[in-house]
Amino acid sequence: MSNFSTTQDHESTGISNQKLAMWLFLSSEVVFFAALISIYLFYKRLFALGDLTPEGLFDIPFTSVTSFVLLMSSLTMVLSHNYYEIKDYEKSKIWIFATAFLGIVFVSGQIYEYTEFIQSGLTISSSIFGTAFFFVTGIHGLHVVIGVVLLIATGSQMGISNSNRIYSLSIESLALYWHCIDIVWIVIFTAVYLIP
Amino acid sequence: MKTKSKTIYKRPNQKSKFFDLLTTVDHKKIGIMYLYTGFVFFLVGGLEALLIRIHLAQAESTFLSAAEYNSLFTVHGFTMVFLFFMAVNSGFGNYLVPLMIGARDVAFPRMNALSYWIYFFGAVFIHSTLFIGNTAPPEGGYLSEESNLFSNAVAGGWFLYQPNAGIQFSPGTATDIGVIGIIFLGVASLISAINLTVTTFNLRAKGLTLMKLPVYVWMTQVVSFLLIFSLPFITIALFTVVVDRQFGGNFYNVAMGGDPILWQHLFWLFGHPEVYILILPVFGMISEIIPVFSRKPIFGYATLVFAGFAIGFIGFGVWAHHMFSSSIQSLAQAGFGAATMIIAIPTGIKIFNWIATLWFGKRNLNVAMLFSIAFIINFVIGGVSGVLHAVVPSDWQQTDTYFIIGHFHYVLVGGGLFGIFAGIYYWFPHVFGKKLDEKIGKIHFWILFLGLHLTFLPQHWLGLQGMVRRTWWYDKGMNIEFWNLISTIGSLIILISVLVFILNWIYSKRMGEDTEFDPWDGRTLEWSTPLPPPEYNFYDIPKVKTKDEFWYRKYSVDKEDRSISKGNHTEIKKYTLATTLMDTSHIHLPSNSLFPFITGLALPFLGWSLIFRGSFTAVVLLLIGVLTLFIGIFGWTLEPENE
Amino acid sequence: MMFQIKHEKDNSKKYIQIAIFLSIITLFEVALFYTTNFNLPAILIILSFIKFVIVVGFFMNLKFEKKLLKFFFLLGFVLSIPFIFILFLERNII
Repeated sequence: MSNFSTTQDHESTGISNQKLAMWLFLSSEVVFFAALISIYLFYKRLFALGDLTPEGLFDIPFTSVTSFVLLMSSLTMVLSHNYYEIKDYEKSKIWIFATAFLGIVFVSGQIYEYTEFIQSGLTISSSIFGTAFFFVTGIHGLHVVIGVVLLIATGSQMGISNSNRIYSLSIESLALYWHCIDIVWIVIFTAVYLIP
Repeated sequence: MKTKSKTIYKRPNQKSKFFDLLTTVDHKKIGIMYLYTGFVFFLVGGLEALLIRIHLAQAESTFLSAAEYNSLFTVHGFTMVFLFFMAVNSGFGNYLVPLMIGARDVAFPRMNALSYWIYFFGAVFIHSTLFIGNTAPPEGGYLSEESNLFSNAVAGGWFLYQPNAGIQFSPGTATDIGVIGIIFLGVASLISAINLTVTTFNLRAKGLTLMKLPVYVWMTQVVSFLLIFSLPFITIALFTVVVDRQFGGNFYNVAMGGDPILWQHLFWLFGHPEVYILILPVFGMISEIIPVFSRKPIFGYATLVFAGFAIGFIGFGVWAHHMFSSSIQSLAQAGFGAATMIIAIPTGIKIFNWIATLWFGKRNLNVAMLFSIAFIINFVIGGVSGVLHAVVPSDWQQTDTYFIIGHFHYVLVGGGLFGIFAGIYYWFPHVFGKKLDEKIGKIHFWILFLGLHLTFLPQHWLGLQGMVRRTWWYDKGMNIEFWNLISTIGSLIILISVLVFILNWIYSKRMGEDTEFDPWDGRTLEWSTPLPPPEYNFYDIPKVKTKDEFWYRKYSVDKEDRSISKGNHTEIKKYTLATTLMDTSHIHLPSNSLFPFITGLALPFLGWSLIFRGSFTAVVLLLIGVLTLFIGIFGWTLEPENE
Repeated sequence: MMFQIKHEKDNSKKYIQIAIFLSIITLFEVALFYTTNFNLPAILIILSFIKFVIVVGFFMNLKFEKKLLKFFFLLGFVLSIPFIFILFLERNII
């Protein structure tokens, strides 16, 4: 997407600027979430000692469903990108909004879960389990919210002019970001919820 | 591919110089802005250091209060590391990298501007700790008499050890301002790192394959990688602190099971790569300057590059050498000690490469060269004391004493600052089309050299005699007054050298020797432009055949590898200067934009709204912040690509 | 399982097939969780890893991308390992 040079008059990796930038950013996010999840695992031993324990609070069936929703949102995302590549912008728009919708469902599920836990007495300050749990899932959740905003913003501009997009973030880069938060959730779900 | 996008508004064109600065996306202007801003913070940080030194010149001194002292060394650390050194490195990197690779600008010009404005507003935000920060909410409110400049600023060291810097032991807003400010600066650095990486990989001139890149570009690239992979650790770490301080989290609350060592791991996982982030660009600059003034190619180009990568990579495995006196296990300590010793090897390789370049070269001992040679000497001294700390039991004696302070000031000031001055003297003609005065420069150099050693050499034995760091008070009975006094005198001498430098700057900008082209008989591509360079950098994008491309346009090589002048310097100069008068309609540059500025502007408001949570002011600040951020980002996405 | 994702072509069927496969793995994970077997953590980690690799490889297209991108992504993991190692060492997990 270089604005000021003609094609192939320079040395390049052959990867578009935005794609390369997004992969570099995601590599940074890998370290970010690895550190985040490691902190949770570091304190995990202490969680069973309090009044409110993971075993007591977690509703695995419920969280499995929301996790599955997020996993399927990766499918809708890749479909949106797929139709964009073959220039079927109508279908692409539908699937990008579907992705945003699934993202909202996921976040709603999380909010519901949070309210349940808070009502039972688990808060950021109530115990180290509370701090670690809300921290890990909350930071991930924020990433999902940002993703949903980007999806809606991109999707709504997709309808305006189909000749050239005026938004900066390409579908490809957005898709990469979205998939990344999905795979991060796969790890979080396993590490936080499933592993005893 | 003509874009016919609907433009709701046009991109700004420079109506005034001030507005041009606010909206510029030109990497050169942004680089210069970083350098000027960074230098201002050098003076601020230097002032903080002077106050510390004046206080320490006497035993049982009451020149500063304990609270003021604690704030001063903390803010000195933050300012020098983040607001000066990293900014200056960004300044040089932004200015030089596109020029050295034959590009017109970086890959994402508006993001580049955004990095600068986040830095700028982040710096403003951090310094608000002096004015509105407090170590306990004062009776009369945040702007009452109880808040005064340094006694209530963020204290507790730039490393903010938990739980000491947590809400219980460091109450009030001061620490939060520091913590959130650094988060902002981290974002700026990450954006910049990604930007420069994409630039270096994707925007090189035709023929400029990776192993023909100048060493400076490679070192900057290693730094970008270090930033990309170490910033996440500090960001997470700072988030945990915000959660603990602002939301009652228990990460470092020992009573609830928190472990203070977690913070230390997270912090130093960033903190150690950070010191390489600081020094590697300087290594790069020295690697450019020495060959030019020895009229020889750099010795061992490939080894230098790979050594840089080795330092970067191993740098992720040595962090706990800052934690030898903490509770980490012996096995871990031994491992980190060994890794720390190993990392000295690629560093040493570089030293030998520089010396080998100097050896048998036709040396020109101008000011840039003096600073470069002194860099090598000082850095070796600093490095030697560093290797001494790598021995774990030895470090148990040295840690938290002035011995450590002596070490890192030798590498950062004796190495880093000297290298920065070398770069300034070398590239000043490029930026301004005039040379810095050599005579004044030599005075500047020798005074700084004297000042450096006088200030920091005694700190080594002061440390071994038991002088503890980060402590405002030492008893008369310790008998360490004399060398403390010498050290303070040294710091005043450093002050004088800085004043001489400022004098040189002001004098040379007006009366300096004019240079329109290649004053140093340079080797790398940035010297192939007229000076100062036009906005588009190169009239024709160069086609590169070899390393040191510009040199080999002027010189050919005989059978014994000696350079022989082609005698075409005047011709090249004439043509290059003539291009400034030629038609530039084939050249398209990115247009200015106000939105990076606006987006950056939002950050302090968001930060303050978090810190002063619960008050009406906070709601107003939040609204202003969110609105500004929204305008900034939304406007940015709607902005037409280029006019 | 040779998936060729060709660009400029409609690969939607292939993506749906991959998604079905991922769903099956998820169902299997949930089933395992309730019929608590030996070494549940290990099996769950392996299954999650498989899902992870599939999404990264096919949805993020990393399997077909240039080596440089694979390198960066992998580097992120490699550089996280010392930290994870030290934390586990601290807690005597290893």
